[in-house]
Amino acid sequence: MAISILFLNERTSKTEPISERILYHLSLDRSFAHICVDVKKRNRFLSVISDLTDDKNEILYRQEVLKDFENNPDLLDQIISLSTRFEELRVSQKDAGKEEYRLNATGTASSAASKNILGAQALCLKRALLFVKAYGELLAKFDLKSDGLINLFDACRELYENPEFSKLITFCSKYENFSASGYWDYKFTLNDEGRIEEYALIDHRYIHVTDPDIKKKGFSLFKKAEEASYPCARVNPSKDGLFESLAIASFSDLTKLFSSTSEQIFSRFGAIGHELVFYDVALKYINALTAKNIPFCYPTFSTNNSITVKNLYDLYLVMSKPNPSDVIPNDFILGESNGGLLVFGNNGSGKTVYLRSIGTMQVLAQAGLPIPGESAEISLFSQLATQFSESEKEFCEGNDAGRFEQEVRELAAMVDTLKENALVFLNETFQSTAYAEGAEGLYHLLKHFSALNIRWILVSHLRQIEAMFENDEATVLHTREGYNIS
Amino acid sequence: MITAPRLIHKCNTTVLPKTLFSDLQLDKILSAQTIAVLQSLCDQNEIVRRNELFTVLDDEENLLRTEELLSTLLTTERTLLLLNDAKIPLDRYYRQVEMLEAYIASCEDLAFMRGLGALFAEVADYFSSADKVSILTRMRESEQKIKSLLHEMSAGFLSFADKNWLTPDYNAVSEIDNISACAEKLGFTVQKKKKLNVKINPLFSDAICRLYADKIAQIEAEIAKYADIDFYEPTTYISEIKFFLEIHGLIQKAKKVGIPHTNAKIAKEPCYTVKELYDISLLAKNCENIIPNDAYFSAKEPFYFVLGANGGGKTTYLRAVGINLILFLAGCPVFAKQAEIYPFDIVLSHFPKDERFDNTGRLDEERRRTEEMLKVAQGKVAFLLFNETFSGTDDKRGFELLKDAATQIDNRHHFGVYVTHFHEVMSLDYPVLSAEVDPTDENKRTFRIVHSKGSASSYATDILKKYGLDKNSLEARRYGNGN
Repeated sequence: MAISILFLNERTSKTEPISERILYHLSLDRSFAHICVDVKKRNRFLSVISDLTDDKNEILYRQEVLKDFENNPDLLDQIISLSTRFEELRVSQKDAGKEEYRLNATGTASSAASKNILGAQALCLKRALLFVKAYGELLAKFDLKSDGLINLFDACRELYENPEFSKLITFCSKYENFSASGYWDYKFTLNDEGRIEEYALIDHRYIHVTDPDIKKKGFSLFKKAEEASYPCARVNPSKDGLFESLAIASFSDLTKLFSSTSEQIFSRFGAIGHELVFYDVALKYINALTAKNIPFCYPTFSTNNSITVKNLYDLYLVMSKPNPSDVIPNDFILGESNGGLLVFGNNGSGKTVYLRSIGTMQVLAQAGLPIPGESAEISLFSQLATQFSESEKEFCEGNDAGRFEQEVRELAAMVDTLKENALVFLNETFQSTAYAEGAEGLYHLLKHFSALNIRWILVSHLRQIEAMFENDEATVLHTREGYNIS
Repeated sequence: MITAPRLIHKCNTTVLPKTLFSDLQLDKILSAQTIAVLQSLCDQNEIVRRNELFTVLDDEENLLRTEELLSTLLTTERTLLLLNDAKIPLDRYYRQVEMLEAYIASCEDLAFMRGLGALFAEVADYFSSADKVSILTRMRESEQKIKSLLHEMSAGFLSFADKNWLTPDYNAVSEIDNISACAEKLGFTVQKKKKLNVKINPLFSDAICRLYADKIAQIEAEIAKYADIDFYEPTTYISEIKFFLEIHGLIQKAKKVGIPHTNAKIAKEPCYTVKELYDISLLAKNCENIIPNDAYFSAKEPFYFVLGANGGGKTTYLRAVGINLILFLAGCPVFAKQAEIYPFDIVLSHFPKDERFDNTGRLDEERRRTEEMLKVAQGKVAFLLFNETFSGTDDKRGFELLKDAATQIDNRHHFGVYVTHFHEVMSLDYPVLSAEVDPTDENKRTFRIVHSKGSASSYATDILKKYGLDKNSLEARRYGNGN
């Protein structure tokens, strides 16, 4: 099974991945563009956070690994360097495999070429084994606390401390220097039909021959001790290429064994390199927050579905503003019995920023990352969904009816796919129609969500909706001057 | 010397011409080997014995036994072919063992075929005789001995050091097995090695034979014991069993689309009386809705002209009559609900040829073929099948030639069917069948062959009805009736 420092072996629940559209709505792509300029790395990082998990253990697993890297920055650099070379080895091993496939497919394999490929695969396996040892030896140097890195270390150690490990390396060394001109011995077996079914290399020590020619020629005045006589027959050289093709087959069998063992090492330890990218960007994110004097914390998890976040910052504003101290933090509290949160306020009063900061916090927290805020006790959700008014750009101008219909269609699709324990972010929904009608429609929708145990956050101008909800059904907030929300 | 009894007996010197089978499109649904069997006509006893075997094969268990027997015989045939092709000594010994094994199995299976009708009973008796059993017992012992000797020679080492040496196997563990064990102990999964299947070459065989010269001598001695045995004997049943199974397969195929089959009663006087007769050559076109027709040919009315619209089923009728007659004469069931047929001496056909003739050339060719056909049929109780003969020329001349041929057929009391589009035959003193729309078919799309009522104009009406362009259909369309 593949060793992972990102995922636990078994997830306890099924969650829905976060779509690119949600990342777009929450500006996570833009926020991390400020943190990590390497597009490939950033995309890999975003793909990890998109793979939503609501498994508390997995989140804690990642938090611990990240803390280990935070405490041992040298470890991350060194292990990334090792994994980069490990990945290069994997690519060259794959190329050697392709070359063997090409030779076999085109029928151009010769014993010399097969020997070369066998040598290359033996070398690859040897190096892969040595990489595992190097991983282990590197991890041994640090005081590790996280299960993820300790697991990795244990897996490496278990392999290289096994006595068979050095034996396998010795075998690899033997075939790594497989000489094209050297001679080799084979064992053959015929099947019930008299055809060759096995033709495999054996060690020369098994060969016992009493050459009759030598016996005839030599005589001695002194009687030697009785020597064992081994039956044998000379095999005349054949021109039909039988022994050549059999030799190729036997080399190919060994090549496959070496390559399949290497592939198993790569599949077991190969994910580490990709996963390290996540931690690399995560560390950059922490460093960026630190550099901007923004407090951050690893969230804890509430046991009663309530959410309490103190002084939550909007990541995008923090990263994009030249002066992050201008960014106003806000608290976010959602009680145990509250189905959702209604946020009302004027244009430009920070409603959308508030919504975005909550969404971003939730995504980061569930990815095992710290959040830009003083403290956080959160709930975990199995699905996140957004309906943001930014998408209005896609509509034709002046076509209000079509826009509303599009919104309804979008929400209908969302309703079809939403499951219990989802969190929905709604931004200015149903404001493209008469407010009274929009409010009523929205009210029924939100009640529907609550009834299904789907929690929601709505920022809106539709004040009419506030009166529709009874006391505990939703928390209501209003924006105040200076981007305060209370 | 006792020879093995046959499943298919040749009882008649008359052989049906191959063109008959291609004319009736039997070559589209049956193999050349089966057609070769159908070419030879059976006497009444043989028809009864074959009918019995076909009935026996209707039982699934019997069918399975016969199919298994065929499979065993084919294996024997294959091993004999391989033995003949084996040029390398060691290879030949292996093939010899396979052949002995297959021969023993074939003989035992043939002996086991008792209870599958009279034809198989004779065969089973022959293969379960005391002599055969004794030979097979000795042969089995030899087979086991040779196998054991070959097994002792089946593994060894090849060394390509200073000289090339072959040595016996000293229980070496191959490198790949050593490395695999090592990898497995480290927790890696090792895929099972794919076995090779490579033929040895003469030099390799030669080395093995020299290394184990004493064992080879023993093998040779065992093989020599059976120099007089005809190992091909069981394989002679292959084509015969294939014939029965192929016809049985055709019956099953027809059964799937609801076509019945029956063993026709053998008539004492010349006649051909069949109820619901099917043209199974249509199975080759994957037709599933094959319309049956009745056929009544008697001494009183032995010969019919068949008239009708194109696509009305005239040729289908002709083929149905011909194919089922051939099947009956070869002892096979016929595809009909009920049948009584006389074992005719010969069946002949005259179909248009594909070659391009100018009008005169084609006419001459058709006249010549007709003359030859009548010559062959002379003095025999013959059934003649004509399809549009003399249609390839001007109507007047063609009709005159048709009249001449009809007179000769009538004078010689031959049976037969003559498909033509010459409506003038209505004026002759011969019975006429015509393709008419089936009154029971609500969609008016199928034809049946019935005794003609003598109305030549019905042909045009039938065609119009078929395509919904007749008066009533057109009126129904106009008034939105749909039909």
